Amino acid sequence: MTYRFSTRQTLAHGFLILGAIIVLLPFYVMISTSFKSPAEIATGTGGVFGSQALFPDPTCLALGGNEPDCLVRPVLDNYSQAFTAAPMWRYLLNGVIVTLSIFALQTLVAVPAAYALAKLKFWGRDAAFALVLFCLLIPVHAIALPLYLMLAKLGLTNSYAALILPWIVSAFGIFLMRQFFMTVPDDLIDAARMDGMGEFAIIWRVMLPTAIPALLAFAIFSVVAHWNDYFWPRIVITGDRSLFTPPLGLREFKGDLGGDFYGPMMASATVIAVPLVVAFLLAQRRFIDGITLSGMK
Amino acid sequence: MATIQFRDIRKSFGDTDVLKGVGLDIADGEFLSLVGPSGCGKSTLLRILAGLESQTSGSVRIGGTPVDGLHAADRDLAMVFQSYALYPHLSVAENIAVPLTMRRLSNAQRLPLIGRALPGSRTTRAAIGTTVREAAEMLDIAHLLDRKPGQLSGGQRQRVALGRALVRDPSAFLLDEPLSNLDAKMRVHMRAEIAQLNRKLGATFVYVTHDQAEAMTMSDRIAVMMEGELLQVGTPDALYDHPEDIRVAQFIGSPAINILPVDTDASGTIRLCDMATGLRASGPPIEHLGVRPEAFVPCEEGELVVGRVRMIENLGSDLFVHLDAAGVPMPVTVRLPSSARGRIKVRDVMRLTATPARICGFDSAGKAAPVSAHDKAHDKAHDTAHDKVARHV
Amino acid sequence: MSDLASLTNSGPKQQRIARPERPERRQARAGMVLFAPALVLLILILIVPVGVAALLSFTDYTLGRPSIDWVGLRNYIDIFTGSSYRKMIVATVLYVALVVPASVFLGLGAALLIRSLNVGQSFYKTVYFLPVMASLLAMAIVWEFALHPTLGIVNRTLAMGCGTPLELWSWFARSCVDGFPLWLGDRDYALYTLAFIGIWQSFGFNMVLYLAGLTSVPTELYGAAAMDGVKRGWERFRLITWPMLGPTTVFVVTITMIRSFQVFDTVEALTHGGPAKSTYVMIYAIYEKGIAQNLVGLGAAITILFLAFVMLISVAQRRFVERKVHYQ
Repeated sequence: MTYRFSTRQTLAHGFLILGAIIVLLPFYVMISTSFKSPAEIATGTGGVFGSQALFPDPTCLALGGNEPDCLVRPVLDNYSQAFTAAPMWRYLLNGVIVTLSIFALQTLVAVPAAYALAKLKFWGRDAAFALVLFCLLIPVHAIALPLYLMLAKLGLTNSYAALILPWIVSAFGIFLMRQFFMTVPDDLIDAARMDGMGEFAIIWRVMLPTAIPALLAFAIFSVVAHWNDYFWPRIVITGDRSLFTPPLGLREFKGDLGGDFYGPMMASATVIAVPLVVAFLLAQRRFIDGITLSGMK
Repeated sequence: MATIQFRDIRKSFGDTDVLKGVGLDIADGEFLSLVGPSGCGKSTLLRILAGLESQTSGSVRIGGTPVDGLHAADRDLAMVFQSYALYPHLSVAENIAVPLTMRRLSNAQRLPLIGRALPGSRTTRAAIGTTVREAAEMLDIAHLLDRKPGQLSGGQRQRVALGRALVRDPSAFLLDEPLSNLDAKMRVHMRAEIAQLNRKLGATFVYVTHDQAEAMTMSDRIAVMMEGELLQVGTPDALYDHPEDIRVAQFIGSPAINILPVDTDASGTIRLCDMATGLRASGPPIEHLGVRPEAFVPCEEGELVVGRVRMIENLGSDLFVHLDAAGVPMPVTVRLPSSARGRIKVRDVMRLTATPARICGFDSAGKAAPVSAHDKAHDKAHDTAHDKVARHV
Repeated sequence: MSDLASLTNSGPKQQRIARPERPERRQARAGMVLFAPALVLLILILIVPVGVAALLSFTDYTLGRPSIDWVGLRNYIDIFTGSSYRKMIVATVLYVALVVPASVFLGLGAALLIRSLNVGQSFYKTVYFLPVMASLLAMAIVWEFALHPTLGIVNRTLAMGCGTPLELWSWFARSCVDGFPLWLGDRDYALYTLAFIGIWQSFGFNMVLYLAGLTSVPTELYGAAAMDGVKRGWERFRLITWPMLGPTTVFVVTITMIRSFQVFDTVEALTHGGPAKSTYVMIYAIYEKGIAQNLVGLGAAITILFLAFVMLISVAQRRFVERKVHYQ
């Protein structure tokens, strides 16, 4: 296929490229800086990936090492500091534990509730659905203070439970799955009943497998939100580093290192941002659909 | 194999009565169609039989045993749904196997992976596999066993749905409008196949449809339902020739029966538009006459109806002529043999008669009432009066 | 073995026969049982805290102190009279007023431009969506570095413009002499800088929603408009695209508002509400007062105020959707 030159198209590309440069600027700064030596960062030299010239590591020198023994490559030094100056692996692991637990529990609560709302007639169902719609209006972040107090009263702050509990019921998840279940024909459920399935078996053997696309979208929505969440962990995790999630770890890193260790800090930021960005680049369609699903209501 | 009995089944949602006391006996091995317009309660009756809904009062017996309150899965019935209701994530073979795995394997044995290792699981699974294959071969879908429902055509899905019902070897099959999602050609084909299946299996079939043609072609007996009531139960012939209710007459047959509004005077003479028809009511006064399109015969004199041709439909094998007739609000339809082609033109005047045996009379309540030929011969005045009418229309 | 199998198979069946029950009853019970966990959790996690916050907002409660006193409306009075709280409202409203229109407009513009392209649609879509995926906290820290007064790439790049015709712009000329702004450290720029980061982060999300909205505009409408003599792109946009995007716009505006009301990450990491409380937004105030300084009563009052704002927006949206958006 060939395209003729068009002023309109060129103009549109011009605007969009300008936008793309601004959008990508911090990503460029982040990755580029994570490759550079302190001197290059301070002077703004080194091009995109730095010259990668060896430089003496100041902590090594301070510990009385010889200059030739203390020489390091900037990129290796930045990234190794990101993992040694703070327990970065631990943070990442915590991030995985917290996001996956939240999603698993949300599913466990939301799917049966959504099935009941969509397909079972029970007394008070309309009121129950109205409650879900009302709860959709309450941002969990807004009620962080009372939630924090309740957890504190229960002695649950500084624990995985504190990170996970407030999120295990997602009004949005219930609403989303309910809307999807509404589109499943009643006949299919009746057929399952005739085939000898109970309501529980129907949920996990019939409804859930047919709802995989919706569930996947919700998974992406949920994981992205909670991997990146900073506000809630900031409130309930105070001090205990072994419970830090990646954003908390990065924030602590920034606090610890003052202003001068930009190389390692940018390396940490890259490490934290990379998992989701890579996942997004690999499965863009699913991600965009998943995030857009929140626009369905 | 089993008989099915409905005893005074009533069902209401709030103030609306969906079923108003339905009683019906279905014989063992019989193919019975429940037919009626949408909303007449036929599907509700089937779902009550299936155990998916419960009746407000009355009772259901299968094989002589009351099943009220028994779980749908425990009634030994199989059901085929309008939307086929195949599990979209399972292959054809797995779909057909579901009712068997749910019954023959224990909860533990059904677990993924581990279940296969449990004692007894292997042999049971092998037996299920054989049953599934036999059913698939019977329905000519053995080559589709590995596909997913999404990859099948409507007709193939229908067969899978039948297969899933078949493997259970149930005492009765319930079919809820199973052909209405198929195209016209496929529907005619499956009609024959389902009727054959009934004969081959010898099992009781209860078939719900809104399409009277399906009911007429497949059933041993038809039960016509309207507004929650059973109007008539009988063989297709009985329903066609001797409808007991004007609504049954109108519902059965295509093109529909001609309904002529008439008056019956004190002597029992039936008049159409103030003209004597040569018929008399031998029972209660007649308000409507029903004449099937093929029961009409063109005649020179002594006609029942006279009218002007409005439109001619040529079907090749037959000719449907529609007339505007005096005193009849709807056009009168006449079915003529193909030999009549070319002899009739639009705006021609046609005179039609019918033998009294093929005329149905209905009283003021719409119930069938006897009609017989008038004993007196037609007089001259009658003829001239009709001529005037003919000139009028 | 087969005996055992038959036992396990007939077991549940006989149990069911022993306890006949109408299918509707069975379903109703299952429905309640299945919804119950969600019901309990919704109430405990979402409804009860709202009530708790409402109660505490009338007290001087602090965590760890056993006594608790009713103070009536004092917390609310403090909020509406104290200057730092006035600054809080101003900063929050200004932030929302900056972010919402810009991010909605840019999202729509990007979506329209991208839709008009012959090549490269998915490239731009991916690029613009990246900030939505990336951790806002991490990117805030990167922005802080990029906006660093001396080391940052922004001021370095701007400085390269000195001595060029850009100096005709008086702001630029002045900056070349006095130095470019401190951005996050300058009370006149800090909120705008945070708003910029907010827009940068959120407009890709709006773009994706608009792209989805655009695909649902039936193309026959454009054909019909062309037959009716609508030629110019702008007229086409005004006549068809914009009205058809009505529902999308209502949703995009609402969700952007609610999200920008909740801005916290950038404020906490970059400005701590300063300088001079110029970026002291509500969620940060709740955090600082209610949790960091343990002034629970005040924090609760701000929470209630915040919830009132959010509910107001949502109710307004529903009203708007019901009244205005009636095509389907």
